[in-house]
Amino acid sequence: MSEKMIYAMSTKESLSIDHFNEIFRMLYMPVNVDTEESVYNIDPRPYFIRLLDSLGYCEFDFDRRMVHMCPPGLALLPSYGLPRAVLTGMRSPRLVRNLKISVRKRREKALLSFLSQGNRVINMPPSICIEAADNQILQEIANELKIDFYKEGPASWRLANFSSSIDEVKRSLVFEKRDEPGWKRRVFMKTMLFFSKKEEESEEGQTLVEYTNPIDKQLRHWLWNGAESAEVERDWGRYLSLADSGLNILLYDRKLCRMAVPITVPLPCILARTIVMCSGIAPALARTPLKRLGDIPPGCHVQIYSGVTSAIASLISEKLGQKLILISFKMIKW
Amino acid sequence: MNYLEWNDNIAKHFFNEEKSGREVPLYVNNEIINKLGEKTGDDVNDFINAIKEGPAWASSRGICQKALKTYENWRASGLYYPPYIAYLAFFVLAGGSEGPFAPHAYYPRFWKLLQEPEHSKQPPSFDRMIELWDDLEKWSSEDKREELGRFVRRIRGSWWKVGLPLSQTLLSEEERKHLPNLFAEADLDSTDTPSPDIVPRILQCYGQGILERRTLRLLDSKKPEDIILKEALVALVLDELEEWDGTVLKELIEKGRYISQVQATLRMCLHLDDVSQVISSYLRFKTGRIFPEEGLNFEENASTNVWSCKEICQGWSTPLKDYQTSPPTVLDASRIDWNKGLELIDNENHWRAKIKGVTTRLFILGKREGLPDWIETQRLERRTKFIIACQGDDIEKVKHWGADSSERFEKRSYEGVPSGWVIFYGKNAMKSCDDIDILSVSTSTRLLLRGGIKTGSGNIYLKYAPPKIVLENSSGDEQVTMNGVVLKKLGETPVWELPDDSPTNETLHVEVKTKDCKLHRIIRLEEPELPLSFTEIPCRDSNGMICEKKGKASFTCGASVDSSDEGASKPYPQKLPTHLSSRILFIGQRPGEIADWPRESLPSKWDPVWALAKKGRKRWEAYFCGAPERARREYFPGEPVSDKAKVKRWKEALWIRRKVIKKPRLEQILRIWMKYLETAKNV
Repeated sequence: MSEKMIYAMSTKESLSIDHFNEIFRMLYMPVNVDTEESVYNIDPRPYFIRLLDSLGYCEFDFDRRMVHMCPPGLALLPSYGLPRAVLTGMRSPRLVRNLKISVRKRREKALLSFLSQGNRVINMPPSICIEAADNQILQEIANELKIDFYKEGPASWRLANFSSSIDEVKRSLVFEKRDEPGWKRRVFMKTMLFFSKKEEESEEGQTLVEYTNPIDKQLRHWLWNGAESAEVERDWGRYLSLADSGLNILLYDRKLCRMAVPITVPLPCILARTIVMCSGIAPALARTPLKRLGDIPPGCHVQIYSGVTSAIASLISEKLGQKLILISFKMIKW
Repeated sequence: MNYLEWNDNIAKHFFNEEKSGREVPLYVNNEIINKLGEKTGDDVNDFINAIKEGPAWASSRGICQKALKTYENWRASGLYYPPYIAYLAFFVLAGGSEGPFAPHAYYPRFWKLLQEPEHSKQPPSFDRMIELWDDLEKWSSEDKREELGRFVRRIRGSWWKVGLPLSQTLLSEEERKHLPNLFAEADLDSTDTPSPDIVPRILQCYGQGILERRTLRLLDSKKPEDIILKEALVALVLDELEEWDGTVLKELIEKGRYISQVQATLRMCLHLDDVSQVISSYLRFKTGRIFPEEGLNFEENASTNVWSCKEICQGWSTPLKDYQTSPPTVLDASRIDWNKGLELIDNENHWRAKIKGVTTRLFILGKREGLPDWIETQRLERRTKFIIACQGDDIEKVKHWGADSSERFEKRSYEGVPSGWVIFYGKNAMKSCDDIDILSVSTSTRLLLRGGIKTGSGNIYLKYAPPKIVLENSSGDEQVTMNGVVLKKLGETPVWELPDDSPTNETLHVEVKTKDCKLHRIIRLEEPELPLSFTEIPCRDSNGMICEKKGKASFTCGASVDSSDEGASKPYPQKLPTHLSSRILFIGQRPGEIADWPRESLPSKWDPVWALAKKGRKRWEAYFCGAPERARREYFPGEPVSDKAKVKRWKEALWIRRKVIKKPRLEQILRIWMKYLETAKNV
């Protein structure tokens, strides 16, 4: 599937979700059809959508059922030494060709590399990374290609600082007494980290409930605090309910600068982009061992992000009301 | 309304974005004309008058001469729609008008509609009207790139002049609108269409109440002059079937609301174990609809099983399984009565999945769809391997047919097949089995474009993802060309690919010559280009919600952050790159400045220039970690420190290990590295 998907999407500023679905269906082929079931039990389309969003290719607006492509630009990675930037946003074969030419012209001072994605569930296009002697070279390249260069600092750092914190999100919620709609519902099980229909299992603290509109199948999420509830965004809702119960689920290896996040509890949008922009590539997938790590259930599927420096890891965990579980990834038998 | 207003109304009615990529017959009758004139209080008579009047610049006397005037050089006039469409609509209207005329009598109808003395003479210049029909095809396919629909010039019978207008009366809009009901009644599968040869029988059987009498008469007709039109009707119905997404117009009532139901046709799949001679069978389906995100959960009458599935790829479902058991139980198709079939319903998502009861089942290799095993199909094509499962009276029929009609045909014995059913294996069936519909080998070839990514609507594809050219019912001896250049077939299957160097932004004529006819499609390839400017750049607020940029102090778009907030502009706290490896030798500018991390603590009194990261047992990689401005000014390593042991270690790290260290790739940095190696050698 690789670049064809991005090229097809990049011919317009915006496309409908239906058009995106058609293109995806035409191009997506599972890695191994014979096994049918993905080892990680991931639905590829929504997973691909999250990856595209967090890699900065586009913005998905599910309310209006549109996909908006982001303009192309060079975004700095958090690096020590020479500046490194990845190409984000839409692209065309011509842009990539011109980028190669532009870098080649400056071969003494700039280097282009294609970072292969470690993710085996979806065949993502490789990330295009430029390492340069200094920011001025990157600016020259961006000017030549008529694209932006976001030079104010590493994109992940700026995004992490820009993102709301869990306290800010909490303050913005409007709790009021309301009746549950008579819709299909599922509850977010904090100990298992997924939504479940089972009613008899109840957990303490705030409860996140998902409701499905029977007409348009859109999901709504309410965070219940006793008899009152507030409508909340799904990803933030999960972390709010975890923080309320003091449950910690982010694994961090300080030495390797890697963070593992359970796949069923993805980071809210801006922070998801933050963590991916630490390396510019999609996370790898793994499974935790058959023992509990922090409050992560045994054998949990996780996404492992690289290049997450301790400053950024701390900021992410702070924003989510999480305490990092410090472990050595090398000691874990994934 | 004047002539041009009628023209534009008619054109917009038939050619619009809803019809993008689909064939548009110019089916005009009194009802449509009256409907178009309703708003302005006009009717068919007003339309006829407008036709007689014509546009201002067409001052000629006769209708056909006026039509020619509207056609001549019309593109230079800047009109959006061809201005002759109303005349073509009139010609079609004439063909369908009632009266005491012989079925093939066109001209008397023509004159009667014009309210002129009836006679059977051809109108002056009527033979030149073919230019207008040709131009309409060109306009829809080339000018408009099928974005408003595709008009195909077809000729009825051997009377090519009158055949053109009469060919537009294949199917009325009402008939087309209700075809999904017919498809659902007949249990047709849009992803596995039946052979064109049996489509007339299906239409006759299920078309009562849906198809008009004239359509049913055409289907019944055995006249030679009707064969071409009948084939055109079948092709049009098959196109409609392939476009059908399974939604049935017949609606269900739920809690006072009307909700449409989606129909999916289950297909039996056979896994053959030739070693143990066992067949295991299961069910899956293919659909044009997007699966619900949570998948589908089908229930069976009088059963507690819930058969679930999700999409695996390109519209195919996973095999139906019950996930209530551990491990999940596959729906064993051998326990179904193959004569009666099975119906499953997902009440929550309003999907219905059904497999028909039949006495003969046909299977082809799933490889064609990128799937394993053998998959049930409704159509037998030439030059393919197949498996047939049949029972009862069909066994002998199939046996005799197979022996006579296939290149290879043999009975096979397997366990796991329901009692009374027999398995045959065959290859390259060349003739139909008259008694069994599913074993119809069609001789009419269809030219299809499969896959590819369109850049919008119409017939324009991305250069990097062009469609494949597929011939259905290929005889194996066709020649496929693109702009006159012969294309190469992909292996044994009747699939052709466009060459990698196919031109972009040019009309590409894909043609297939068979013994009986010539098939033709037009496409264009476009190099994907970025939009020239960005007018509506989306952005998000700090909560991640999509927002308008206007009036917002801070927002993000993609990887960029536009914020006046101090927080977002905090300087990034740089730290040494300890993530590169679990062991790193930090090297400073002076020989002797070395820190072996993590055994030794990170340097605090000097700034490292290099980080030698251990990547394997005997592999290292050198990373520059000095300040970028120092990389610009080339500089020499400094004076050695006084500690000779450290100087030795510094030398070992750089010079002794030099052959196992991957050098920096950036030329400017490599030059600096080489200076360090030289210094390490000599220190």
